[in-house]
Amino acid sequence: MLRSTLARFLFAQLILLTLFVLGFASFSFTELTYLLDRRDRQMVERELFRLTTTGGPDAVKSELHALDLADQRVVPDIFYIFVPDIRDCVDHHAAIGECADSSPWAAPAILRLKLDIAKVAAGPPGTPQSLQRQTDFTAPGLFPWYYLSARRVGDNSALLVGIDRKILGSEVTRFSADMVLAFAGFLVLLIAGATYYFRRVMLRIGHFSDALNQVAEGALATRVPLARAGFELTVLGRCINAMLGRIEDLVLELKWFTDSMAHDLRTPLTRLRMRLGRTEPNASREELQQRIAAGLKELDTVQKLFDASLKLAKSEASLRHRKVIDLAAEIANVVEFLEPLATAQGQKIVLDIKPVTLFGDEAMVQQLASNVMENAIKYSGKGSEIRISCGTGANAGFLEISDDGPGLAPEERNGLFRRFERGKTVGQTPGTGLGLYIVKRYANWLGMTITVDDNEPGLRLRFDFLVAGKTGVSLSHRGNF
Amino acid sequence: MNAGRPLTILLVEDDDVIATELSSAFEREGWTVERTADGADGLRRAAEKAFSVIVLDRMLPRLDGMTMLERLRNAYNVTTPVLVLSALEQADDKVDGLEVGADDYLGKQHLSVEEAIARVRALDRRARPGPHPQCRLWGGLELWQKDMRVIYAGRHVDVAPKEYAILKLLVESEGDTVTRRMILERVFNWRAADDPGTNVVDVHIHRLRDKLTKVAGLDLIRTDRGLGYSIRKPSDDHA
Repeated sequence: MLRSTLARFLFAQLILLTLFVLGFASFSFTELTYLLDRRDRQMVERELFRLTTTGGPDAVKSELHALDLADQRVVPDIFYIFVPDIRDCVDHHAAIGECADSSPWAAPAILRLKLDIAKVAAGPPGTPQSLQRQTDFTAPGLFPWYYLSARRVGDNSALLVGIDRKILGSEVTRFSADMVLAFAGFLVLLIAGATYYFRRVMLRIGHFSDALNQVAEGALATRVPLARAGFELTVLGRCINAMLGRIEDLVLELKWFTDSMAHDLRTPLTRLRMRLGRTEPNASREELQQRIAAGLKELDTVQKLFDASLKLAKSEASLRHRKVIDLAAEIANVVEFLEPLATAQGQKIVLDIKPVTLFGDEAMVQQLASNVMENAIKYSGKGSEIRISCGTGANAGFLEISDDGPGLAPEERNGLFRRFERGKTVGQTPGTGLGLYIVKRYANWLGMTITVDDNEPGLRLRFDFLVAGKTGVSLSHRGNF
Repeated sequence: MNAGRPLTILLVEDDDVIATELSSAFEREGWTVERTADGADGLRRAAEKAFSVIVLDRMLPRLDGMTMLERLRNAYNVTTPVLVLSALEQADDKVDGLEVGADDYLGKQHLSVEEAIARVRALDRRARPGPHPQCRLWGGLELWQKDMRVIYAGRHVDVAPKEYAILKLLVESEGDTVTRRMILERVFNWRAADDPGTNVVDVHIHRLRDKLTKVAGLDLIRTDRGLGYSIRKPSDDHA
């Protein structure tokens, strides 16, 4: 599972989060401890100061007694110990409890302490001594120590004030434990959520892989499934499907190409073989030359057919030489070129061309225009009128070629652009049958839509396209987004 | 066949059959031919020696034709006219070829020895600096560039603009054959790789011929069977 990029990402996030939380917790814990510690010391010193400045030993004793009665400690953990005569403790090396006179709320463990009263005794009255740590003193919990401070009162007495941290310690411990539990719970939820999300994504990716494997095995019509959710995967899926569509088109094209080649080259190749294969022993030089010439002509036909089909089987022309094309000028040029053919048939060409531009390949536009016009000249019959118009419509450009010839039946109109399809009235008119197929391919590539209609009488072909914009780019219908 | 100038041709072509056919044909014209089959050797020869025209295949071993041409033009500053032959004949391959420095470009599908000879002659002619007169004279013909007028022996011949252009091309070729493909490209600006379906060029020539014959009383245009057309020389016997 850790080979998955997604899993690694999620795992790394979890680890970072855990480290962060632990770090944060430690920091908070340390800060809390420090603040509590400071608060406690200040409180102890304040109490000590307050009590020892009320008066001498008697005053302190009576104050403590009052406190004891009223049970009004400033905080619950604080305790007081009055030692009437320090010399007793020092001389007998006694525990505090043995030489203390009154000791409200002090825990027994405190009373067992043998504090270094000598320190208190050493200083002048009123000198505070803090007696924080006792290395031989332990108690259960996180705070195994008490904070004690002492002052001399009068000549020989001392007052000890201290804070019992056990209680607080247990509260902090509980707090920490709660936090750890909460985080653990959060972590579990997070892992569960991440796993669920991970599996969903992997499932969709699995569907993609399956579909693509099927395509690789030959099922070209397969497409990856697109779900509504998951923006990135849907976008990717659409791209993949567009690509698969294109691949399918290309493969089918190639298949048609090879099939067509097999079909359409057979005849001219057979004829070629016949013309060149038969050699009379007494054939004259002239006859031989004639046969060679006829054979060359068949070869030309073969080459033409092959070249035209090969070009169509290639993927679209290079995009390097697309530019803004003056369609009106191209049409005028092609008309000037083909006009003698029309005149020879007694046909009349009527032009209604207005300025219009499109973005594309010059040679393609020329070939398209030429093929369509040649088609009209060839098949509209003697004496017909051929109308050619171009210009801009609402937001689009158009090119229209119509004639008043015999036209085509509806079923023939549908097959007009199919490769090698030729109308019933064509008869012996020479042609490869590829002219209009080329027109359709080029029109697709140039982003043109073609409509074929009955001109009543005759045939009408209309090409609609987007005019080249200011930036010189027109949208091709092939764009998917 | 025209006697013409004796040219020296460098032929860079790796297909043995095509190279043999072309060089034999060139030699029959009275031209001297040097042959090589790879681009690197071709570059060396073209840089070292002056040729009238270089005929260059695009796909070559060791150094491809386009790279050789680009180096010839830019690194060696050789301005010899170059005819590129190629199996690649999409319009943009041709534009690439011309941009790199080719003077003419012929797809192998249109290649015949006669077409190659006609094109080589045309290139040689273009390379020779000559005046661009307002009026071209040829036998009894006068071609006036400014208003595209044609006069024969003092009488006006009414020609369409494209017919004028065809006639001008024939006259400028000075009796050499102009192929249909050349007319397509130079007069009608034909960029598509395919020839148009029918021989429209023939029809245009036919009309031009009729008009000239009506005025001149004789056929000034000669058909070079299977290949193209040429203008009859003033000294030719008239049919």
